[in-house]
Amino acid sequence: MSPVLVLARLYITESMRRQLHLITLFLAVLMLVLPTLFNAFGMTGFDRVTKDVGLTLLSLYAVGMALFLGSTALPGDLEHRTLHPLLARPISRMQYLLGKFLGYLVVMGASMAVLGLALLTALAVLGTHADPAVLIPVALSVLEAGVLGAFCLFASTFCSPALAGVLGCFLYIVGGIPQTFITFFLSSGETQVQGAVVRAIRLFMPHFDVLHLKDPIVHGEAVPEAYLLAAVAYGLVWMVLFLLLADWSFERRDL
Amino acid sequence: MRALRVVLLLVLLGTLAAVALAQGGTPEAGGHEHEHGHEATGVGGHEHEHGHEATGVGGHEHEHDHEATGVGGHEHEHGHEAPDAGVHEHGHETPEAGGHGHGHVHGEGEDEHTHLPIQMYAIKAYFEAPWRDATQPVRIAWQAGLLALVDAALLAWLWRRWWR
Repeated sequence: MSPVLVLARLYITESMRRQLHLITLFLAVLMLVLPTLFNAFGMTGFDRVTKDVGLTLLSLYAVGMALFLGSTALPGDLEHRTLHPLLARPISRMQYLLGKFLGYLVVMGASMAVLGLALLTALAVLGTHADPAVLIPVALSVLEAGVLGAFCLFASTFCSPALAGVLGCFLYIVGGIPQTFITFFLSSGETQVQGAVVRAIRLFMPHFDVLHLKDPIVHGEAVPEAYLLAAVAYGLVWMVLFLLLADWSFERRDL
Repeated sequence: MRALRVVLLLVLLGTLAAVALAQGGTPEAGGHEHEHGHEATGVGGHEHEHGHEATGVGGHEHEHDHEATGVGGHEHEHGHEAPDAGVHEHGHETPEAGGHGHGHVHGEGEDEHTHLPIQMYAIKAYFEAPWRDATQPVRIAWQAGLLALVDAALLAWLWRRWWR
């Protein structure tokens, strides 16, 4: 088996040992009862509210896990001294990073799949109808978590896990500002300077708003396939860039 | 921890079972989502369906009803007794009518208030859909293209290092 796959499997086993899946299970239970909570109040359009809240929770979960897992993967191995025996074997640093990242993606993908299916099940059983389109924002959340996780992995090669997490948080907040917000609230009068600063910073960071399709999906908008493909490609080029930068930085590091 | 895992899995399965069982307890599983309840049961009067066709949003139906039938008009269509003018009850006395809700009592004009935010969000979601953002091709395409080039250059450089 390729060293990358072995390392990925090791990461998954380690995640299971850290009981990360318990958080997923807790959230899955919450997803299942969401429609009941909203329907209990007799709210009109409760299925839309359920979808909205459910997808928001999923997105926050993905971002939180990306920040946490991405920024602690490498420093954890350094701290526990498990990195050195690994690198003493014929494994390149890139293979090590790729293995870690692949394992992380599998954990995130599996968790999000469970949560997405829980939301879909809840909508099908207690809601008016199950809309499989809710899985689109879930899949894009995995991609977003991939980009964010790759960035945190890159940041953790040259700074502490806490700082890497904070940098990731900054990237997510500034990169995720909706363009309409900038256009309408940061482009005139007193906010022009702030708008210019935000635009300049965003030139060099991923625009996460490209991947945010929750609102259109919740309100029944059909997503053009061409847009979806372009968004996925956009996320992938950022992910590859951060992974390559992580390797470049990690290769230079004296262990 | 193993015990905790088992308990959590049991809770998950129990919730699933409870949700599945609850399906029988929530008629039409729609509650107050009138658009679906009506479609499913065919009960509810023509005014509702006209409302849906006219707006396509789902939620204006009550405004139409009130305008068409006057205050407290709902009770006539459903054959209910309205305790006060402007207050209508759903599904209290006609469980066979497709379970038109859960027996909530609404005050006058309440539906407009609860529906309006959802309509506003729907409109916001329509105009804020990323593929309708005219600035996006400009701000994203060049960035993606440049990134692809940087990725390729970095990959080529690192590749040389890996093979050395």
